[in-house]
Amino acid sequence: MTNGSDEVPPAAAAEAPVHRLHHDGRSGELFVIFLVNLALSIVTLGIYRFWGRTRIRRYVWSQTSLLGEPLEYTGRGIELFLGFLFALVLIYGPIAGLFFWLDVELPESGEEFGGAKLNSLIVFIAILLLATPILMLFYYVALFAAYRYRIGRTSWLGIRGGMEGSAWRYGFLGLGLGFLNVLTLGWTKPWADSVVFKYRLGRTWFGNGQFQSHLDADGLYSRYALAWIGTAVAIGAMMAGLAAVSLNAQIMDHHVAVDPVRMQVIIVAIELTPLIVYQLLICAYKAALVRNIAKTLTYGTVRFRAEVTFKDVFKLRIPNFLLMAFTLGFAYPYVVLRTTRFVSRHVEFHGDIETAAIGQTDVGTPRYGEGLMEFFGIGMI
Amino acid sequence: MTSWGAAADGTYTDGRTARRHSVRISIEADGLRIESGDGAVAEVWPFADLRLVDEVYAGRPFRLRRDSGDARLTVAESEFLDRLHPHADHLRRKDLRRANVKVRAAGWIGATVAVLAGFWFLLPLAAGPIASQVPLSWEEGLGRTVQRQALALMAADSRVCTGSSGQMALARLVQRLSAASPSRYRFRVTVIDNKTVNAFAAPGGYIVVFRGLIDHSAGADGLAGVMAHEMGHVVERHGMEGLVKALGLSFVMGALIGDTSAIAGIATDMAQSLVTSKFSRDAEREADRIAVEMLNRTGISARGFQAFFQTMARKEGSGDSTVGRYFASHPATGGRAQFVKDRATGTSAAMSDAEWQAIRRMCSR
Repeated sequence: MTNGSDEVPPAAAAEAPVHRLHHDGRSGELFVIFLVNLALSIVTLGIYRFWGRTRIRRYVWSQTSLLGEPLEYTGRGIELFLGFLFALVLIYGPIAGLFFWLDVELPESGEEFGGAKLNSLIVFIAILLLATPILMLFYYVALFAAYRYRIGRTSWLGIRGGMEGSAWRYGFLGLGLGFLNVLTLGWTKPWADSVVFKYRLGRTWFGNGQFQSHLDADGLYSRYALAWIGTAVAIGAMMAGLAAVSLNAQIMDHHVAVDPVRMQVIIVAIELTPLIVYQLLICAYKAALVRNIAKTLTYGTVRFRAEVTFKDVFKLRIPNFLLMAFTLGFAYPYVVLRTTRFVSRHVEFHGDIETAAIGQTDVGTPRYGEGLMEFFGIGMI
Repeated sequence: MTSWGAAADGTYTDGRTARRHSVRISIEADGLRIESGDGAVAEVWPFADLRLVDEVYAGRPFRLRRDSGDARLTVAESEFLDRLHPHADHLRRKDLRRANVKVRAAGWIGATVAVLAGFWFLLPLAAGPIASQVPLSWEEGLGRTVQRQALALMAADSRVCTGSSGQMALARLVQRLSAASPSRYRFRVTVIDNKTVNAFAAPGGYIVVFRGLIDHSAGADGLAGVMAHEMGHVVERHGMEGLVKALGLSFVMGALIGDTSAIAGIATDMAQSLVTSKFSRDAEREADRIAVEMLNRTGISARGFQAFFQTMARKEGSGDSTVGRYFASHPATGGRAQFVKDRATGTSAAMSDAEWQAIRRMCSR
């Protein structure tokens, strides 16, 4: 007997079976679904897209399997459509109405245009101060609702997923953490991310079993600091670069004709530098976050691993972005499959998945889908 | 032909737990029989009750469920589905095993191109009838918003001119023109202090005139012609048509690029496209025709309007940059002078010289 008896012996750990998701989607098949959606969305002035998105999810889910058994997406297009209508009438409508009302109530431009300009500036700032937290709140509410809908409409072996907890509480949590993030110039982000993911994952069910997350910000700060400092340096460099260009232009102005197009290209390139630096460096942070999320997640006796590296995340995100940008979105099916393959390649289930012990869930499922998300235009699938 | 007795292996879950049962399935007279060796599962699913969970693609298993409930049956041997088809014809719809991906892709690309082409041709045709259905109050509300946003965009370098006697003179001119040619619109004219030779008509009667246009309008009669021209755009709802087209296009673009958040930006996009986009040549010709009619009904001479076009033609020829995009899409300016000349009948002046001077001084503080 060794004295480290509470540690799992390496031999035993190696014996625990490891399962992976298997993804069998083909880009040709998904591309046809994508084209059907495109044509019908245009004909129906965009309304078909809710049904189209449902078809895409059904395909992606059904081609992903665990223990040889495919996942199933049970959502319906009409649910997404109704969710969209509800969000339109209950949330987007009043906000748009408020803006329209303010627009009408502003003084008519006329004799006192100077005065009107001042008024509209004050109103604009007031709206900004008021609207930003409201939009942020709705963003997190929408995020939670969308996640809950997808989990609730995912089933495996006839057993459904489920989600408890309140979207509004999640919304206020996200709003508070976001506010803190602004106050600390972004230095609470790693901690805030871990709180937010822990909240969501810890309220996720599959059947009658609940996921547990012990996520903390352990090891996240060094990667994040790298991205933060790198971006700050890049912003400084950008400022210096822009100043140099403008100074150069002033000196050269009377002597040499500068090609304005070339000038614009140089300026845009300088302005994009911080964004590119951030997107590169943040890959290391995102990889660490994914590793931690998997490592601290359990479902009964099943443990998870997702040993992704900076290189893995880099090779997923950057080509995805470039593919979408340079094909005007037509690479979408391929990008979706790249992403699902990434997930199935890296996510590992450690331990026996005792299917006989998993009962049907009694967590209620939302009746309508993620409508609010529509107005933030995020999320790939 | 019968396939009774055909059998295959499958995996069954009952929807209460995730426990997988290895089952033998067979086609019987009353439906699909599902039985496990240990006797735990013994069911018959009627054929009419069978549903495919997802589309079935070549080389992959297929999954069945009943019309309701969480029980699932996965069958790896997809040829068995062929045996089921004679009994449950409705399953064929989701059976894509023999569908040729390339042929289907080509077909749908063709369909998409056809739909886009259809929109391209139908949108301009439909825009007019749709625009004419918009109630006046909406049109005025839209016009007010567009005008306000345009003024806000230009507020940095062009203030609104407020000389009150000039405003009154301009209002009298517009009143005279609209009284002779009654329409449902109330016209509101704003002059801004900008040297560009330009003017635009937002929907609902909101007209914006640049100071540069007054400076180069070849006298009060020329200004009257331009005002009548802009009023022509309003009466013919060219601005509303533009908005309808922009809305239709943004829907198509939204569907194409998949950017659904665009919905939020539509209102602002519409306003901007109206201000920046030009009316078509046909719309300009129509506005010219209405302008001459208006001038003729009031008896105002169109000679100034004609002279205005001639001046612009000269400026265009010399590449003068103050000639705004107002003329960029317009029919060849020289031809428009001829068009006006051929139809004009009026002889009287648009306003008194004192009124004209007041309008010219509108922008001086």
